[in-house]
Amino acid sequence: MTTWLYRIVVNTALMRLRAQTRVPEELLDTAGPLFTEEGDHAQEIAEWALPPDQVLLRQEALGRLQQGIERLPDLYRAVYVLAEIESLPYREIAAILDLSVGTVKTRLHRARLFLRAILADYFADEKGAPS
Amino acid sequence: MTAWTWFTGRFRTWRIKLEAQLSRPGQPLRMKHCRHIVKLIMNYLDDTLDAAERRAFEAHIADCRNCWRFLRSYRATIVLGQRLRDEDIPSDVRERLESFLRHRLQRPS
Repeated sequence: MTTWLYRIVVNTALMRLRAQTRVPEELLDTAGPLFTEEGDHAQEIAEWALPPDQVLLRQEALGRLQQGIERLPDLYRAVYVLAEIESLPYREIAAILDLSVGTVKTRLHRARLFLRAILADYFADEKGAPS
Repeated sequence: MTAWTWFTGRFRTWRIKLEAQLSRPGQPLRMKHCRHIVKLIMNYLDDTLDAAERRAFEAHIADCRNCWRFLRSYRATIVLGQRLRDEDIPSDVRERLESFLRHRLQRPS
């Protein structure tokens, strides 16, 4: 689907649905890392053993990421796809989805945290071993 | 994001800055909490932190192994996501997105 089509479809669709539907966000509320009461990391953050260029070579990692994107709540997925994949500026996404720029950024951040957690599980399991 | 969430978030930021400046006048801001770092990570990567916040962020990252690792993995997640630009959006994802939009379009306003 091309960017212009996203814009037209999303814009038309969302003009009609403003405030009608509450997208479940519970899934994303717990997407980030756990913290202690003092605000420190509650768990050791695992090092991803692969350097970034090798991460990119892992088709399986891309598959995990795609599965994760599919699991995102609809409006989070819309923000994520428009921002990360279509590379639209926040302001434009905000206009398309009729959200504030702040909300767009929050949703994108949470979507990334959710996807990072999925990938972290994968890389922690794999420990960077060649497939 | 509700106005209250926004306000409490800003208030927390102001309080942290104020406390830091009161405790260490003239010194760079200190961000002591990893929770705060994770919240700012996106603005850091977007380069939208002000100079003092950026210095404080980097000072924390330099001292905190967990936050350093977290930053690296967050950035790798972004890079991996951007890689999907070069790929076709998976058909099931596209279909679900289209279905979602179509469903919304068909609803009476």
